[in-house]
Amino acid sequence: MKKVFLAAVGLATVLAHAASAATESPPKLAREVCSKCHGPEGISQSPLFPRLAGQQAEYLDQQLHQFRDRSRGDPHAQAYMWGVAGPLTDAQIKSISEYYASRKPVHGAAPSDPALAAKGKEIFFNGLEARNVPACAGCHGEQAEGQGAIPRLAGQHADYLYRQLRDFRSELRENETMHANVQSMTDDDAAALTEYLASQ
Amino acid sequence: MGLQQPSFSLTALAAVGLATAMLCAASTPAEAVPSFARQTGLACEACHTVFPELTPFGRRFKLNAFTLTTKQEISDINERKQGTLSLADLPPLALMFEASSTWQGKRVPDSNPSAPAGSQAQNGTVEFPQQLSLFYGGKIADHFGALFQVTYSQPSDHFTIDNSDIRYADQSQSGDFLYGLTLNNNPTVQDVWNSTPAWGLPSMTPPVGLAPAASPLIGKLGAQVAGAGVYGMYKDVFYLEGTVYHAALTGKTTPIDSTSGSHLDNYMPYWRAAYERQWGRHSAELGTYGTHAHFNQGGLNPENGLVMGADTFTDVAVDGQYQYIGENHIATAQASWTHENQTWQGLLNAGGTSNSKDNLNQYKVTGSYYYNRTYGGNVTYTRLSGSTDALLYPVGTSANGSPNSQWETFEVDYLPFLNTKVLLQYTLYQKFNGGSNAYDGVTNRKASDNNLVMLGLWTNF
Ligand code: HEC
Ligand code: HEC
Repeated sequence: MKKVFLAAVGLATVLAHAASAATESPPKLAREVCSKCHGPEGISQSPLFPRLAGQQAEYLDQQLHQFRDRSRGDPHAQAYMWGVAGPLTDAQIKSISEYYASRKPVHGAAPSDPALAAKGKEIFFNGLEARNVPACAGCHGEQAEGQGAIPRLAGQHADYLYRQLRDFRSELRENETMHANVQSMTDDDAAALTEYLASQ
Repeated sequence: MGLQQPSFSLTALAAVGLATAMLCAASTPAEAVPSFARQTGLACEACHTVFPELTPFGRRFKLNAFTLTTKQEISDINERKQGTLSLADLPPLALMFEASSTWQGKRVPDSNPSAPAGSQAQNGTVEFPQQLSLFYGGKIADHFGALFQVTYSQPSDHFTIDNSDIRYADQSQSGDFLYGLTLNNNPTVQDVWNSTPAWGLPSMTPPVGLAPAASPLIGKLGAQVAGAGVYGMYKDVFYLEGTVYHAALTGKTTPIDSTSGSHLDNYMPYWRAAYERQWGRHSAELGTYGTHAHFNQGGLNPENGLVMGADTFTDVAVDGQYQYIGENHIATAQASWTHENQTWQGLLNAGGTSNSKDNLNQYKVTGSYYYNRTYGGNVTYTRLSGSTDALLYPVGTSANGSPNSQWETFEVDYLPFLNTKVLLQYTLYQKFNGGSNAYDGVTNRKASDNNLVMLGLWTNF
């Protein structure tokens, strides 16, 4: 039994060395922690975990500080990111934010419901006067690419974005600007917007 | 979990009567390990839908050898800047406590052979605790992690080594290929899907009551064997594992010989292959696993004084799992089919079987639903069918020598907190050891007399 184990350890060690001889490596923190949820290079597959690749560095930095000081307190932020961000230092936050901002963002696949996405596009560029919803493009950019502390939304998981809009509305995620923007938005508006954004 | 001896040991077979059919809790482990939450800073919901069922992330956490940590560690490096130590500030300990109260459909006869005819055992058994486990679960060093469980169980009134799984894991540079090693003491305890025996539902089983005479070998080797295995997962989709087990009895003669009781002979291979897909909030798995074992009857043949010899078991199972994990609703399903071929030599020599070959099939389907991880429950349907063998399932166990059994378990759960479950469980037998009425051929006991109601409390902290 012992021999079998030792042989197996040997084999694994050889594999490990062969594997690590490859290309330039992502930071240890990203490799060993963040990637387990946010995916390699910040491109997650599960809509539970937002994509970080190509997100604005300043926005990432700010969110990580908010997780660390627990001021971003929506349920998933508490369950997942409070624990993760708690022990990070300012320097770690800065460098990991720069790392993910430097990754190439992914573009979403064509929408599964084109009519819904078209309705979302309309709101994104022109807002909804009747419900006091401003044009999102004004802040988030024509390509929904974001800038500075305003996040990139293009190519993000629809499920994740929808949850954020809902949490801004109920103030589970506290942010005055976004709360005002979505306050009187309906669930259908939110579904249309996120269908559009995820496809960008 | 209870350390169930294989139900085919000589003494159990020779004995007649209901009392011997009483098996102590064959319960499988039931875990959510709060020390993992302490180490990772993640709430239970990151890894569990409702404990002990794992989410896709929970599966990755386990395959990564429980090493993900977000806490400051005590560390050291050597001159070449290689890490030589990374130890948690606090030992990763956790406790699990289960208590239960169980009622049987009909009382069983008093097990005292000299009790007057017609005497019966009490109905309504309270176990406090039914089970108390101490866990050590967490990272040991970079790439190394472990889960150890030491359990006190009331039926045995002992502390015993329970599930243990020590793992090493790493991944390729691109993150596409994850590979690792496991050292463990219970086939399928290392598995990450809840469609395999060690982690199947219902996760808390009644500590008293009668259990059907037959069940596949693969689910009852816990803490009797130890094995080392290698596994790999490619792109979070294809999983392959091979593990080799050897007998590792606790509290028995060593080196193992004929005085050690029934035990695994030589090496036993275990294989596992699975395909998993995740899309949005859904995930599904399809897989197969199995084993091939020679099992020695302990003791000597009273007729010729020779050792009994070994019986051979080949188990092949096909399993599947589906999970939907939404914001408020969680629905999951598991199914498995296990086929076992039994070739008797030892037991034949011992006069414990009438055929030289038998087989056994087990079908199991489970469905569960939870609302807000607070209210919910699960339903399990199990059917056992196998060869008729008048000595293997003798009168007293079965009137017609058949292991065929069929039952459902209904469970309603309330979780006031993510780490605490209050449950009401009802087990309903349609068929027991080959029959519905007067199934044992001695008493007039009906399959439904073995129905069980259990009220349970289970908390981890
Ligand atoms: C166990 C899983 C997990 C791990 C590990 C993890 N995260 Fe997260 N992260 C999440 C989840 C879930 C969310 C979404 C929270 C929400 O819905 O409010 C999130 C959100 C974020 C956000 C906010 C994104 C946005 O668009 O607002 C950032 C930034 C982030 N994580 C960075 C990191 C970094 C950096 C690491 C590694 C140090 C990391 N995460 C590790 C699960 C994880
Ligand atoms: C006045 C500027 C402004 C406008 C207009 C605006 N946003 Fe925002 N949005 C922000 C800021 C700033 C944040 C970052 C909030 C924070 O720090 O928590 C944000 C965050 C978000 C997020 C969270 C993204 C993430 O990764 O977690 C979503 C989703 C979002 N906005 C959608 C919209 C939509 C849809 C509209 C149009 C209806 C809109 N925003 C209009 C400024 C704006």
